[in-house]
This record gives sequence, C-alpha cells and structure tokens, in this order.
Amino acid sequence: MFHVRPDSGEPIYQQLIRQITHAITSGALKPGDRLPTIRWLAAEQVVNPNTVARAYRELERSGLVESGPRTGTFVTFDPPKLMAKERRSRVKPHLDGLVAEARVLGISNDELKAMLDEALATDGSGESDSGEEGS
Amino acid sequence: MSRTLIDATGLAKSYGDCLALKPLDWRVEAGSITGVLGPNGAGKTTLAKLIMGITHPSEGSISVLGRKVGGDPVAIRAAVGFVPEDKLLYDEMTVGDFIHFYGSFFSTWDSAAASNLLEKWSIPLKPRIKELSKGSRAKLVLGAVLCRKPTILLLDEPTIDLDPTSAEEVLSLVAQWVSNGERSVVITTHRLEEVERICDQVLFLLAGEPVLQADLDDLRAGWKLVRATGSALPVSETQRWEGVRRVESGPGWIALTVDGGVNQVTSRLRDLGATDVTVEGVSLREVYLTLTDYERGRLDEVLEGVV
Repeated sequence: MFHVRPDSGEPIYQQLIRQITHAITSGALKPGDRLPTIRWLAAEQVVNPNTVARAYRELERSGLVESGPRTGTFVTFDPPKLMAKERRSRVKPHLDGLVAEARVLGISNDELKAMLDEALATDGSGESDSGEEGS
Repeated sequence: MSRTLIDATGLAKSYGDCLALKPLDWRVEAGSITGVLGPNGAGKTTLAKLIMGITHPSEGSISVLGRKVGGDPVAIRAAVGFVPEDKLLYDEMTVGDFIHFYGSFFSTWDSAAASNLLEKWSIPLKPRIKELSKGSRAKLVLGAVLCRKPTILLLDEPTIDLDPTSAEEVLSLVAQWVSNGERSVVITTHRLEEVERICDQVLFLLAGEPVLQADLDDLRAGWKLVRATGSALPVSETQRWEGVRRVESGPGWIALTVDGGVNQVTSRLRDLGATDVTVEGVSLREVYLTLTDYERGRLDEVLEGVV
C-alpha cells in the first residue's frame, strides 16, 4: 500500500505520514483499521524501524491513529474535524509557494486576491462545501 | 530514552605518523541502524576494528554495552557480531558442518533458530558452501552471526555482490532484527541508496576525519538545493553565507547546496534580485559528493583528451 522513495530528499517518516494520511483521508484505511506493525512495515519497505515508529508517533500526535500497548496502532474514529484540518494542511504549502512566487514577481496582495477569486469563480464547483464532512 | 550501545569519546587511532582516525565522539543508540560512509581509506575499517577490540585506541576510549573495549575481550566478542565483506572463509565446508563448527564457538548459540532460518531460506545442509549461490552464502553468514545472538551487528558491505532480490531479503532481515529496539546495527558501505533506506543515522568519515554525524531524516530536512536565476548574482558572497556548503553557477544562474537555514538563503537571494528561486530535496548522493568536494564537469575535461 505504501511506497517509500529514500532518494527524494523528503524525510522518510514524512513520506510515511503523507501516504498513511492519504490512505485514511481517501478511505482506503477506515476508522478501526489496524496499521501494520512497525516491524512488519520496516521489513516490508526495508526502512529503519525507528523511522516507522517516528511516523506512527507523529500520526498519533495529530490524532489520526491511536495505539495501545500490545494491541497495535489503529485508525481512530471521529474523522470530520481532523479531515478539515488535514485538508487545509495539504493546501497550505501550495498557498505558501504561491505567495512566495507572487512576492518574487512583484504581484500585490490585492492583485493576488483578485486572481484567486477569479480562479474560484471560474471553477465554481466548491461553493456549497461546508468543509466539515468526513470522507 | 534508549540505551547507548557504543560510546566513543575522543576516539583516535594512528599507525606511526599516519592518523587513521581523528578524534571521534560518537554514540550508537539501541534500535538504530548507522551507516558509516566515506571513500576508501577514510577510516571505516579502523573504526570497525576499534569497536571489536581488534585494535586499540591511540587516544580516547570506546565502550560497548557500557564496557570499555580492551578490558573484557570475551564479553565484547559475544556482544558484537561481525559480518565481513569476504564471505568465502569456509568455502570447503558443507553448510551443516559450518553451522555446527561456527555454533560451537558461542555459548549463546541458538541452534533451533539456525535450523529454522536455513529451512526458511531453503538452504540445504549437504552442499559445500562454495556451491551455494552468492545470495544464499550471504544469508548463511548473516544468519549464523544472528544465531549467536549479538547485541550489535557490524556489517561490512553486506550486499556487495548480491542481486537486488537477495539484497532486499538481507536488508529486510536486518530491519526486522533491530525492530525490538534493544539492538543496533552499524553498516559500512558505499551503497548510498541502501543507507538512505535502511539507516536512521549516518557517520561520514573523510581521510580519518569525522566530517558529518546526523540523523538521516534531519539531514533530509536540513539539506536543500536552492536554485535561482538572475544577472550579476554575487557568487563569492553566497559562498560565505551561513549554511551554504557548495555553490555552482553559470551565466545567469546559481545553485546553492545548503545545510540548514534554507529560508534565510532564499530570501537573501530574492533581496539580491534573484528570480525563480526554487528549493529541492537533496539525495544522500548529493550530500556525499558535496562533502567530498566532487566537481561536476571535471569529468568532461578529463574526457576531452580521450573522446
């Protein structure tokens, strides 16, 4: 299910976080599903168990999974709010890049806002989205 | 939180006037897999010998599992499992004889685990070791070392002549072995892509000098390649910026390999009128080449006389 690219320059634990998060948000992993054990995933992906453990710890901290002693790590219930937060955090880097690019090119804030409004108006499909529903 | 399994303080080794290892402060924590990197002659083998107590420090000290190396050679030998690059030592023995012979040296030998591994890997007992494939031979030696239950595994070029499938099996086994969090692995190798996958720590030696020690994911997060275009960018000035490890430039462009402080570097470049400032991740290969001062383009000059 997961595929790690060690030479991409992106920390491996972050790649795992991204991929597991995607599996959860896309519904491939459902609340209550058990994540592979650290040992299994490390052996399967041939990556360091510490790295897998770090990814699981971060996922737990962000509330996407929960782990109990001896029971393993499980995808947690109550996704809606997390999903909204997660969706925002995925768009955020693109926005940051956009802002940085606009700065370099000398595009003013108002100009950028106008462009964003225009792009949203052209697309027009996201109007009714409350931003709080789950999967 | 985790236990320190190898602890080196000011560890140095010289042979006559030759400094094989310059003072090294280094720790290996339980649960970690450390890649020791560097060109040939960088001091990797010297370090391995120091860990095993085969050679003694000229300065400083090293302890393994809290015991000073040199004081208790039997305990060190039991704790450290060394898998050499040259796996042909027992060529003429049959697999069964080798397992029996090897196991007899160690009170900690787990013969049930040995039979189990051989069966799992479909390695028969009858043939001589030299008749096995290279993959089977590598697995046999690694398996044998694991069955004497060391706490630290020292691997020298573990996959050097293995096909990708066998290499994957060997590394996967190593990853499993270390996952109980109580053991650790030190790998010396030139295969950077393997280090990149399986290691969480790197120690980089260059002519005996420890030039870099890092957590690999931290290294990935810190090392970046910043590219920018712009006219009259002050190349020599950027070389002095904090974090800038390497600068490449050409007409109208500049590429900086930075080790930390990437945001500062990009904003300074923009202040200097640079456009199209982009930031990319850096592979361990790039880090290696940067640390060894490899000059891209030098090859072309060399080839000019030949091709």
